[in-house]
Amino acid sequence: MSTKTAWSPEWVDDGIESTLAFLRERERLQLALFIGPVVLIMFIGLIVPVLYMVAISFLNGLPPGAEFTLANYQRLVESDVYLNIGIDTIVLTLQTTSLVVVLGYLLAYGIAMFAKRQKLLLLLVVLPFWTNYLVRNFALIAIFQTGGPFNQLLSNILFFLDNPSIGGDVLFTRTSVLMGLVYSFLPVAVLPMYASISRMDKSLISASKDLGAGPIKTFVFVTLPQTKDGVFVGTLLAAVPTFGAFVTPAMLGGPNDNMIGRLIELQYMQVYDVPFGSALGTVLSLFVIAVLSIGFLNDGIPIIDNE
Amino acid sequence: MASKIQSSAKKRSNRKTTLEADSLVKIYEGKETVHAVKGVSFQIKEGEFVSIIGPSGSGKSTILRMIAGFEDPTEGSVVLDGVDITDRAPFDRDTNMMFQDLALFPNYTVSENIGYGPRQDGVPKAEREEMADEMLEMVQLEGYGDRAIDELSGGEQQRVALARCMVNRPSVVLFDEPLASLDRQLRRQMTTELSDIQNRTGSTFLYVTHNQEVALSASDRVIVLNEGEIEQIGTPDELYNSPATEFVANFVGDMNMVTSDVREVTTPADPVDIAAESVAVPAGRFDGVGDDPTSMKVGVRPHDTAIVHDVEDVSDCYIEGTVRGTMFAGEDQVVTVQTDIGEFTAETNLSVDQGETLFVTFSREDVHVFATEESDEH
Repeated sequence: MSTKTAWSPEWVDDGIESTLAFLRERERLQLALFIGPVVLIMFIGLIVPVLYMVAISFLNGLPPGAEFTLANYQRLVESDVYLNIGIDTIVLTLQTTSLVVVLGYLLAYGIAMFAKRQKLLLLLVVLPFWTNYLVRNFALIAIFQTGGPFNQLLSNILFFLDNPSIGGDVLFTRTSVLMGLVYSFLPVAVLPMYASISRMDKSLISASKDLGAGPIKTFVFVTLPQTKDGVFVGTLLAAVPTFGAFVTPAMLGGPNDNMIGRLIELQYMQVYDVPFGSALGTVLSLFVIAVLSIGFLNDGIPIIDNE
Repeated sequence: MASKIQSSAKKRSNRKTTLEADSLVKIYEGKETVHAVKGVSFQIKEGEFVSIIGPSGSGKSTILRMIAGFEDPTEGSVVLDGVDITDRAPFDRDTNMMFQDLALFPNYTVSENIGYGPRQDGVPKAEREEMADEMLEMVQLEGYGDRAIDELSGGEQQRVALARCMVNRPSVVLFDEPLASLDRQLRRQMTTELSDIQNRTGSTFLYVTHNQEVALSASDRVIVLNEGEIEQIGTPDELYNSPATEFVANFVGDMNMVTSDVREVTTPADPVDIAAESVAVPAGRFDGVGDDPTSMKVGVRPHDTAIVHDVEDVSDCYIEGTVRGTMFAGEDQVVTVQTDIGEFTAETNLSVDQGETLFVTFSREDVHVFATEESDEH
């Protein structure tokens, strides 16, 4: 096999050829060349900072000159405040993820099964990503504020209650945080679910109906099991960023609607208690790793093993 | 083979009608309106094996899907066991279908796939497994119950799919070309088995295929479909030996076909012109031609066509021609001969040379007569 072409000088061709011949013999080196750059970036950009964070969480200040202490973790355990914020975060994550997965599945199913212009619709689904996350949250503030469109719409629908404040109190509450999170992470969950639904063999649905199963049984026994990989990935893509979210609770939530992500951000950026923020971050990371491990161990690794 | 079919057809003739399709019409509206099925009626008796054959696009799968409930007929009705089921949902019909791509559930084991139908009827698990085992025995896959679908070979998957669509003991089992993906040898084997199973269980089969081999070897009766209309319904024997139309003659087996100008139809003994000669063809061959045709198609099966070197050896009809090509076909060879009135193929064990001049000959008993397609008003 020759790579000689008329467009480059001969010594370049010879160089390419001998390099390729060298690589052809060495499969591990090939692998390293392909995944190496990303592994390096992840190592420098993720592993090292995380380890640094873990290290700082055991210090009483920023290095140099800081000493080892367990005080940060002690503080975490001693007060109920942090535990309650953690529980709030988990509850909010579960609520957000359930809503995202149910609404997202309906949307993905509709597009995959009934829509004619599927690509256009998918484009519309991811359209919010064309705007900045922060800008979108500002937009939500405008929508949810007293006298805003949401307020007006709701009081028009519920006019018989004769209470103009309905829907007006929604901003800076837990409800607005929930709606903001659902709005933010719905698109990312739709894509994997759409992929698995559209990839599914539609004749399985016909077969199920032919064998006597109605629409609901067919969905439970055939469609859902066939698309569970997409649901799993969608759940993951919605749950993980929701769990660590800090912009949405900070902008749409009230003073009592803290989430762990917001708490950590406060420690780093406003209180300047970096070691305590690191301790919170370490606990958060461990929790996410634990939950994901359980998920993956029970289900294999469905993202990769999708056949 | 032929005699067996005739006897079983006779045996079944006094049985009750299981399935009746009455003037089924299917029109797809859209940018282009497509008349997929144009008024098709037929009846299937209990325990019969009926095939629908036709080229792709002839509407055969649409008919099957209308019977299964996946398509709504534009007009007409489907009657199963005396009950009109035209408007019923697929899951509310006593039919089960073996799909072209089999459509086995990959998330279930072999047993669970077979037990899927009974499970919907609320049959308890232990009983379902018993049923599955019984079915697996029928399709000769004993002990395969716990396997995953993707562990099975193509042929094994076919058997599981067959078991799954028969476990409910439906009034009619529908087949949508399920053997199309198999190689020829496996397809023959499966066809034989299908026929055996059908005979043993007494089930009613409606089988759609474009593969005439499957249809002719296993069916009691065959429906030949072309462009959404039925060309002929008959036993394989009838279709082969007395095809009603030119289309059937060409679709079921091969046929040498030449056009004949009719000089006179006054004397029934001497009606068909082949080249310049009039040939007396047995009575009863003109049923499909009409009363006063101006031209006809005359056909002879290659199997009934012989070639001879010497004009002394010819039978009733013969014509001179030159050899255009030969094709190996086992014991015999298929010889293509160019004559003044068209090309003939003949099966022979004579050795012939390319370009050689010889005689194509056949008996007038084997001549088939058809209306020309143009004058063929349906």
